[in-house]
Amino acid sequence: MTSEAKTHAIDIASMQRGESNLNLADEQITLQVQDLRLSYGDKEALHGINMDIPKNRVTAFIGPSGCGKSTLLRCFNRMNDLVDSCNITGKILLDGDNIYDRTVNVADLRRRVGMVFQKPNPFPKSIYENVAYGLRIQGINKKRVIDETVEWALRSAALWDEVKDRLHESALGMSGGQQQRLVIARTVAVKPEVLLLDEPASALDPISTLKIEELIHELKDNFTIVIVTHNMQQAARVSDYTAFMYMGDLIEFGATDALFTKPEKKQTEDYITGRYG
Amino acid sequence: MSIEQTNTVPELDFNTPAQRRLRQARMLKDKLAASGIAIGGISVILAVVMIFFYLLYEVAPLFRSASIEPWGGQQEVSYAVPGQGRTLYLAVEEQAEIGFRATDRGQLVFFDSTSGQVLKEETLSLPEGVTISSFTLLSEASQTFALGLSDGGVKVIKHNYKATYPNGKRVLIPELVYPLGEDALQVADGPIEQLAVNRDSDEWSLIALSQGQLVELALSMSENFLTGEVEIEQSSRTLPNIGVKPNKLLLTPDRRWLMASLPQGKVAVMALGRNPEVTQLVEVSKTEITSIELLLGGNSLIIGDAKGKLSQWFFVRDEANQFQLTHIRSFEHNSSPVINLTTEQRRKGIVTLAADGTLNLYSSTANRQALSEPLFSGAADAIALAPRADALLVQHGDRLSFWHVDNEHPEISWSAYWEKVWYEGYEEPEYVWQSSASNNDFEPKYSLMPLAFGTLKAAFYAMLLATPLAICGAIYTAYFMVPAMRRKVKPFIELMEALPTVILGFLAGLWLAPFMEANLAGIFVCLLIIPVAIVLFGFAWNNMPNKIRFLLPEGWDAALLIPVVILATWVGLGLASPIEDALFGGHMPTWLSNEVGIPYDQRNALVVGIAMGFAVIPTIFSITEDAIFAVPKHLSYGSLALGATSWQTLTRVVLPTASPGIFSALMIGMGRAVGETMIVLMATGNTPIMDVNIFEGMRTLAANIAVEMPESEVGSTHYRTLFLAAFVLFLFTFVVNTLAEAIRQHLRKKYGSL
Repeated sequence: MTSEAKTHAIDIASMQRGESNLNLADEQITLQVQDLRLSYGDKEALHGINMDIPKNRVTAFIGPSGCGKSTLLRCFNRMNDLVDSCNITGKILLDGDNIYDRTVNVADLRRRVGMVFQKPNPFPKSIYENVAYGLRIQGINKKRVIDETVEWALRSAALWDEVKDRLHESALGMSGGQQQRLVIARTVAVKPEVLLLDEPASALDPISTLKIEELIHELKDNFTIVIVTHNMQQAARVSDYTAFMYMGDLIEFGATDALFTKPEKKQTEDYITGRYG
Repeated sequence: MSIEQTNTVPELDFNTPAQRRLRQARMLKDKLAASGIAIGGISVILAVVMIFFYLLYEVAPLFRSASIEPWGGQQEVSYAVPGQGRTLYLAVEEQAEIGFRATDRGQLVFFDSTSGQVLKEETLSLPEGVTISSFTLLSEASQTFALGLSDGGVKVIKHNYKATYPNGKRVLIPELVYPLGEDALQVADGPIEQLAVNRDSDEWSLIALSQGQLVELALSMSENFLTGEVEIEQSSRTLPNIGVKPNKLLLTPDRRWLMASLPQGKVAVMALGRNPEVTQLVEVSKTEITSIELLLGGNSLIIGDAKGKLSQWFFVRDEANQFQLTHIRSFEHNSSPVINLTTEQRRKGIVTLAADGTLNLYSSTANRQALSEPLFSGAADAIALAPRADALLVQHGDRLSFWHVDNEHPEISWSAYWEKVWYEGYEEPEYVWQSSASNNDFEPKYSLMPLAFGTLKAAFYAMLLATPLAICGAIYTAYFMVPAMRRKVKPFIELMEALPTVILGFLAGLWLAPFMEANLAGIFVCLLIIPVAIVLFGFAWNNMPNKIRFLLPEGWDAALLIPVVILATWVGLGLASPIEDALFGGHMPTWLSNEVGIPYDQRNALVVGIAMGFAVIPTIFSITEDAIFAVPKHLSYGSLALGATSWQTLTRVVLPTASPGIFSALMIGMGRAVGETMIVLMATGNTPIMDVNIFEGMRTLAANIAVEMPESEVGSTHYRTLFLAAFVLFLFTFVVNTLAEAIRQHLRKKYGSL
């Protein structure tokens, strides 16, 4: 361990990250969050969030448990609508349009903003049908189209070689890591613009985690990725931008390199050096 | 944020005597609980197994085969024939203690049936030179026979037994009774060659063949109510000639038919009536008829021939409304000629002794040979079966032998239970359940088919109503309803299950059935109007301005349907009357019966369907709701996050995943509907008919047991048949439930790793 590691738990320099010197001002913006407030009943969970999510980049949300990072993530595809007594004010613009507008078709929004959950949740169907599911609900039933898309999605999720011989076996027979990549393939298959990953590797072993992280790297060329993680190393490894949240507030948001090496806020520094969380 | 105060480690000793005692007590409690729970579980299984075996134990005697053994055990009971002459008639009394024999020399002997010791002997006083020229038996059960004399006279004699109790011990005193007087009745002028006598209470008919002439003497006895004297009115007529000399004459008890057994296997049938005529000459056998008797009740003719064939015939009305003597069934037989044939006195059973000495027991209804056992080598001379069919007296040469017959349930066979049977008096084979009637010579009809059919019919209509309502309700409650409302709705529906079914049955039978009869059109209008009203209201509510819609908390809109349903019902019932007037002539049930030809019973399958459907809904609803609610949320979220709508998520992910639970809910609901008793008992009319018509009643296995068990004689065939019905019901519900559970377990394993 170097002496620097005593103040910063994450050694960014040793991670051989591809790009550096990213600047949010240069990026194309996919999602804009404007004064987003969210409350469960009387309890406010997000106190006016403002941020821009850049296109074709990986943005990580970090913060201690209960800070609201997953809640914020769920706002991007309106999954919070499913929670009772959840009240939202403010705007989220996807390519300039407010997704909370009354005219928005929620099902269509969720196709454009796909989501992968913490726990792998393949349907009790075959591997093939899991990936084809998103297409079928969109009314695509041509076998050739589905076959091609399934292969493409499984290749995108780096799963094709492992499952190509057992596409019609139950997805429930796969390992946890494979299941999670299947879920990613399933989400990718409907070609969303944004991919939301809610602690996608927290239930997986280190090797599977590594595969998922490599996959995230691959996918960012085609998708805007937002990932919530508990694991700061993971955030440092995979993300281009990092947002640190604490108690329902966005404390600091910037390029990952900068945030981990020169945090501007005391709270950020305390968190990434392991004082709490 | 660390704790700054000094923190001393508390002293804890886990090894004090008190701690050790506690640990032991804890272990003991654990073991007790484990064994207690195990005992409980095993007891439940044991109880079910014991019910199974108890039912089997009650049913098993039905299928035990008959047996015959010497009376009183191993030693053959055999003694010299008492009295002289050829045997005309051999009989045994009720208790099988006394035998009776009438001979062609006019000797009438009562003797001890086990030893042959003569108890009483009489010889008929006949005028000089007059001999007995013919004999006929009215019926085995009547214990009455008639002797035709060579001077044209006829004597009717009954052997009777009086029970007396001197010194508290039962002693049977045999006696001879002459129902038509001790003096011979003059029927013909010449010797009587053949004779047939029968009676229907006080109306007697004596038909004699004398000098090639058939003569009928009809007697009508009436008691003078002033003097108490019996007055006899006589009338005589000559009947048309049959042409061939008959070997035997048989007269039915209603005195409508005379049947004459002719040579070459023919039977002539004469309708007596006002203008007697021979209506039929039937070839009943390819060879000679060797024995012919009337079965108990006098409706069926049992014919045995020289080839050993045994067949049953009775009168069936044909298309031209004429009664024809018809072949009903043939019995399994040996090839040896049927020499002796006698019928049971309480059942539709037949006993034959073939020329090779083989004894056969048959049951006509069951079309079954209950026993076939060689008793002797060579033909017997006479046989007699005791009234209880438990003792058999056989004359073989100059010896009499006495046997014990064990033949408890001959009228039972697979075909009697589950196949069409041609019962006496029916025009064709049918499935009939009719276990008892008011007379003694009744043929019990134990077909389980109408009951099994009724059970399935009731269950079908109940499921028809309950399945869509319960499953759709469960889907809505589990998947769409807000939790606050779900918490109220679910216990409420489950509470319905606690409603005693006797109350449901009571309401169905005494309120719903008459109400439905009066408002049948209204019920149908409601069935049409309510769904339409619900859909229309949903559409209207969805397009309502938000101001009004938001008055109601989100997810509670379903509650608004309650007034809509009530209103629709009210409108439906209100519309019923004009519709009935306009289309159905004012009263739909009458219109259905008269115009469409669909009979309408007040207690019908529709009433049962609604009432029992109501009883089954909570079962299906509760299990289905649990199954759907138990589908992991992350699955439906996964689907929604892919851009599926709620409906797509429901039909493509939630329902397939919940399908094992839904399936078992249906099976358990089905099991409940099949086993349900009180509702069907009170609302079906309990008519054991086989008809899918929704407006007719039925009788189910369960209701049948409830109705008939209290009045069936313990140990009788009827009693055991009811147990068999219970056994069938038990097996059915057991198989359905086990199958449901097995499939559920299998599917659960398939979806187990969710």
